[in-house]
Amino acid sequence: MNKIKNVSLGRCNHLYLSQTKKFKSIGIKVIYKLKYNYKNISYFNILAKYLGNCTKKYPSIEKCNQYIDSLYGSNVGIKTNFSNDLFTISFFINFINPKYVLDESLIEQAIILLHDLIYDPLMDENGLDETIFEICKNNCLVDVESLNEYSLSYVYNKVKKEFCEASSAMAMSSLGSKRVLKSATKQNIISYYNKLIHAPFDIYVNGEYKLKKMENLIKKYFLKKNCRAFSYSSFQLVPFKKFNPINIKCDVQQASLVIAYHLPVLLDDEKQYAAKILRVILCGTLSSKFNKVIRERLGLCYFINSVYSSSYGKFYVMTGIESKNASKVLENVQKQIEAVCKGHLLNKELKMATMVLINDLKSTNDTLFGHINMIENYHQINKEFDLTKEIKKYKSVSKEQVIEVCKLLTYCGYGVLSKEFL
Amino acid sequence: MKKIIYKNIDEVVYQVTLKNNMNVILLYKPNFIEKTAYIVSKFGHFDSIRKINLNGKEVQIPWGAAHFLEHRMFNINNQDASDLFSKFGAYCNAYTTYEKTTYFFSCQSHFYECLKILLEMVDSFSSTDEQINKEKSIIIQEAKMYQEEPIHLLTANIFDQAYFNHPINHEVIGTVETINQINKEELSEIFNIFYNPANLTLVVAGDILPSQLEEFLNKNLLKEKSNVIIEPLKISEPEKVKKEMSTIYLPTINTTRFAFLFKLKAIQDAKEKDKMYFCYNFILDYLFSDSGKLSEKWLSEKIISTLLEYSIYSNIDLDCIIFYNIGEEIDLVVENIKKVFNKNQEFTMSLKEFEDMKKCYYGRTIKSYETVGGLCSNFVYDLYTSCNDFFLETQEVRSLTLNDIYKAYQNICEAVTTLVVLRGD
Repeated sequence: MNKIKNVSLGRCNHLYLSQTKKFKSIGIKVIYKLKYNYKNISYFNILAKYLGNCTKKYPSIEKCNQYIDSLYGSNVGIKTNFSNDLFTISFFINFINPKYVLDESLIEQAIILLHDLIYDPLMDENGLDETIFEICKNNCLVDVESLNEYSLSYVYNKVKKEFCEASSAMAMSSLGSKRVLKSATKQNIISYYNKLIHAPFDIYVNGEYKLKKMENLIKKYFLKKNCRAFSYSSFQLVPFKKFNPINIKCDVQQASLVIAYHLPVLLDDEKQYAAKILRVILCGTLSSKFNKVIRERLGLCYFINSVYSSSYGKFYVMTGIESKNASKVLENVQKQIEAVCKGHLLNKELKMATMVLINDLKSTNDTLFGHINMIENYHQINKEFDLTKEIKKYKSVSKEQVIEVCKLLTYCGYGVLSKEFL
Repeated sequence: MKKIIYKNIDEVVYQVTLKNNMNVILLYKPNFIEKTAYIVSKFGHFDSIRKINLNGKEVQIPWGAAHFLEHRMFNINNQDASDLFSKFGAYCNAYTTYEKTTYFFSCQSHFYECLKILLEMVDSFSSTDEQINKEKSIIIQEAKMYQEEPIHLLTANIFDQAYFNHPINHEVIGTVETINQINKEELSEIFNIFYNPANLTLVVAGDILPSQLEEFLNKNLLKEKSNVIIEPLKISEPEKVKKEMSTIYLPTINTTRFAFLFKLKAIQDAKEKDKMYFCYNFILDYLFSDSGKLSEKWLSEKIISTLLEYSIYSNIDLDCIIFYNIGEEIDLVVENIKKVFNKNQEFTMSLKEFEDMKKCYYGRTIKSYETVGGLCSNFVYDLYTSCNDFFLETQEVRSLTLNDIYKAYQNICEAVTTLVVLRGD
């Protein structure tokens, strides 16, 4: 496992340096942390598009992207994310290791670009560039419009909303709200930009580079003192709630079904390892119970999948089926869960699920950003990622513990989009 | 195994042809935990234009047969291969494309146990009528799922509208009707002809010792099943399109979408085909990518509301480009694309811009070699479709000239076009 060097970049900002010779490129990620607010999502999505496409030095979408391409096809991205009361906005750059292009200045050029995208945006006393702002706002609106075209994600979002306030993080779409996006003005975006640059941030670097040189370069451009620290929790149990079935009628060939369960096991709970294993046993691979029974034995679907949300304590099963088979699928999903609760769980199933999860963990070291993302995810819950410890945790889960967690699964309701009402 | 070193990019490849004529390639990636293996049959969707001999009668291979067979190959002596892989915590899957069918697994440990399962999967075919009937219901569900995916629907319809004889005008999965026609005897015969070791390539990637791999493969040689000589496919296709425009409907969508296809003259010479493929990519990126000459202009003039998306298809007797976009101003977008690719229009790219694009391509390509899974899947993607040495593609691109670009531009200008619009209810 790579050793991580932790360097302070001011009052509440940190730099984490990780080195490996495995990859052909170097990755740098800057993550800003803010308090969640439902308007954040929409405004920051517009801001992210704006910042990623122009700077004062490269004052058009074309010029800015041409410059990014000219750094040997570097990739630049800006992503927003949120969970409970934490909202993050990440800027990342991935560029080729200079040894392949014999250009040592590439590292500094990449860092300057990342810095300029954040701290030297195309803004003056008149605000943002009107044309680029309109393009970015319109792009965000199109993204929201297109999101609901995928039936399963449409039903999934409807089901999630049954559990909580429409403006809470759990219910919100990562693309924001159409209403808020439409009303966004250049002034709104500037005020959110000011929130961003005063927020605490962490920087993560991974790849092959000279440690001291990288540390100095990052310090040269990112040593900031003006951040405001705040406390947050990225997870919180959303209380149990049973809801009436959601039936959405639409002239589709294949019905989309989402079944919701309450599973009160959160990220800080030791039972989370058993809960993750349970998910794989039930519906995480082609050999999982639901796949074997509902797809292979009964031929009711082509795919069946699941999501375990350890931030809110929810478990969802999702599948595409023929409308007439919805009741059969509901019945068989329930039967499989009940069977596990009664102890019908084979040692080989437990072993398989444990191995799948351990392999997933190990493989994070095989991708440049996989490693960075894993460390960052643990930092968000104030923990240090320790691969050996995590593997031990999975290995120590017993069959009985998985059965106990399965008993906590409580059916809440379902949503279905189909030709006819069920 | 023969060792090939690509010093400038730190890549090492081993290759061997086994006694049974199966080709084996090892992409050596030291220090990676992940190990992966892909076995690729040179039998894909397009092969449905072939005829096979069944009980003394010549019959055409049903549409969807390659994909159907892919599903059934997971049956090893009535055990599901995915169950066998999962014992080792390995992930496995398969996919059928136009010219090949690919089976693969990825693991962190027990590599040789997994490789044995993968080899067993493609070494024999066994399915009962009952299993085949159950598979039909699963595949029909899959087909219905695709019918509700906007991009899939647009692509399938535009190919059908553009091509008369080329098998691209049929869907890889087949139709409910052709899926229902498929039977055990046909699948078994197809297997015997097209899953012969000489028609298979094994591509392995990871921290694996070449000598150990070769020894293992020689001990686990696949059976030779038939001696039928498989002739290369030849498809004759007129230059015109079936129809110039159509509108289709999907009740779940809120925004109108369209696909606009340029049916290019299919290039026969393999080297020239590869070269033109790169040139088409360069031209489209130059004009329509994030940094494209026209992207920001068209967005600000409200000709388009999101970036134009594009795909280039280069395959057996087939070269075409499809543009995709969202919005109601379809005529305006189509008219503007047509204007760009008008013979009378002047198209220029400066030498500096051209060299910058080569630099960008070089960096992106080298980066794409950095993970075990990504490298192996990219390598397999090019297998049977490109005549270039995979790791020398960056050199091929470096040797391109501006004249090649202008020639490719002319090819696009000479293409016939067709349009499909997808609307909600």
